Amino acid sequence: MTTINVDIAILGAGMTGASLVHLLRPALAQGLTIALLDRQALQWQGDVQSRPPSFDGRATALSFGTQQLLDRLGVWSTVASSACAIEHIQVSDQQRFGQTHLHASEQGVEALGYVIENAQLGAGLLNPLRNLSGVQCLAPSAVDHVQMNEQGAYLRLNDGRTVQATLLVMADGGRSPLAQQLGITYQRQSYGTHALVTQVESLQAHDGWAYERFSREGPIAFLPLSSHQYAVVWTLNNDVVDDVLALDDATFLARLQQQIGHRVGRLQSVGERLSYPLALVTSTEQVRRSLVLLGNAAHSLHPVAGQGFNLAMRDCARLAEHILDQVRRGGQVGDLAMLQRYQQAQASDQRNTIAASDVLPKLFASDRGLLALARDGGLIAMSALPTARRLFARHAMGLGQKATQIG
Amino acid sequence: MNNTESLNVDNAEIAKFEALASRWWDRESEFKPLHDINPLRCNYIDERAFLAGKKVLDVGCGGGILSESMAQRGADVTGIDMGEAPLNVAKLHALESGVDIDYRRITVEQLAEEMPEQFDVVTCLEMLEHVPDPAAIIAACQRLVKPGGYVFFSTLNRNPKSYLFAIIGAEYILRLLPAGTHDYHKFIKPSELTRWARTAQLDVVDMTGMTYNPIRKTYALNAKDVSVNYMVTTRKAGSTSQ
Repeated sequence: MTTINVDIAILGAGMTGASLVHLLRPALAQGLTIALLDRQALQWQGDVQSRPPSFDGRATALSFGTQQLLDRLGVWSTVASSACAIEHIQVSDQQRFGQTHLHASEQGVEALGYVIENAQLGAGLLNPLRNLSGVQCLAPSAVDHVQMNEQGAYLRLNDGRTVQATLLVMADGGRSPLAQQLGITYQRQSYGTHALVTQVESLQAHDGWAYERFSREGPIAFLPLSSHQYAVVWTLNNDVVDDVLALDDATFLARLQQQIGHRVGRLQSVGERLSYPLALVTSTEQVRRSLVLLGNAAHSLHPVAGQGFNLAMRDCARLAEHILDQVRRGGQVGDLAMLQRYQQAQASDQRNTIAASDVLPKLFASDRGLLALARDGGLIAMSALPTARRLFARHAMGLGQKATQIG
Repeated sequence: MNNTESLNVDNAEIAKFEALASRWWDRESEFKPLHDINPLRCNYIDERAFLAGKKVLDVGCGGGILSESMAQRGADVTGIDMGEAPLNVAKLHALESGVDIDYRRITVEQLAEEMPEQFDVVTCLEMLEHVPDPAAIIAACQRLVKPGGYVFFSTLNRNPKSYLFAIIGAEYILRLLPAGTHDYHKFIKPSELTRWARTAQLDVVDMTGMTYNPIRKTYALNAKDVSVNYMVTTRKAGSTSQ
């Protein structure tokens, strides 16, 4: 069978892989070729019935920075109607005094962030790629074997086809089996907790409020969706998660209401409940010649601050910036020095974001006096000090990092 | 081969590694630093020598950490070592990883007789400080590499700082090998290594240090700090003919 020759093969057409294709459009216009591979058939319309796993019923909180990037890529206008703006965030601690509010108006922006269902964002990202010249979608297809060679990476698919790429981008999710074939290993640090994700409907409209509450049973995030609905991420200890999943709807809602309090209004219905174990998983390496790991294949974070996808987007934007520059200068897209420069440029952003996502759940999971005092003190100080609040908001909005120059 | 006494081999050193062999691929064992820094070093080598499609010799390959990562980058790798147990570990692990590496128990001097100028790239990391006559190893590496080919060395510097680190054994030492496997007096100054390289007709083209950040718990290559561990790129004169 013939070999498909491309400049870049992207493994995984999830939100990360699809975003990278968009970011590389200027190079596609100059003749760059991309193969986009996924194990699942691509759901161009974001079909809710049969979503690929990465576009499941979950919702993602997009930082203001990510939204700005999607806007520049022309994707935002197609999904804006299904996204909900976060205008206010309340961070609170159950049965303690500390509480802080963040307001978009105070930050001089129209929203602190946006919440969107993954299926909607996925469709918005995938649809425009359908007829993009230079992009070949190979899905469904599974890569059985990868071999690095002088030209880059050589992939053998399970249907007998082969792909020769100058650069292989692995965006195929946590613990990429293909990365492990190349001897790349993962460090996994479990938090001993699960995230229970679902959607709930309240009697009261959310009015653009998001809630981050550190309850006794673990942190809970309520993210506003359509007018009376919230996406809920509830962190629960491993030993209770199955019990909570198994509760009947009324009992579940009562328990959730007890933890979140009454400011969200009376909860009256709940959607499908899913759960997954929480861990910080990072790959031991991210770049080699002709190889780069992106998104969850490189690092998957605790969802507490909702920064996993936003970090992946900043990684994508930074990588695209380096690839575009390389293409403009007539260089090779698999060049190791260029890929190492990319990694260097993203290192501090990754380190800081990972550290923040790692330290927050630990701080709030502990009930020891000093930590509790520190977080009370922290929340009180934050509500008192406009500067601290602005800094926190900038971090939450994903503006803390230097903006990339994609445009 | 049952008598290695006349060879350029320190049997006591070999014995130390025999005892540790089973833990070679355990990333939480005393070999952790070696695993942690390997991606950086392998990329350093790949950036200069372009490993994919090349015939590469790994001298003092031990359990095969570097050999495998070079094979996974597309190189055709031969690994040699005088330790029986580490070589068996290396062979077993290669089967597990699905990489094809030719592991042999032979000294570098003997292989130089057998396969002169057969390799595009030769690597010799963390090995010179374990042998009685490092200069002879360097000369043999030079004979094995093709004209224009690269030879990489890494070792430990000999100065008050590395002495202190080796003696105290504090956490922030970049101890690439388990405690007790190093003898300070065998550490090699960069000036000695470069002199031996030049004597062997290898041009020194680059030198970089390896440092450990105890707060971030990360390793880095740092051209400005060769005070403890360092790595040297050398090249044999002549043009590569392929």
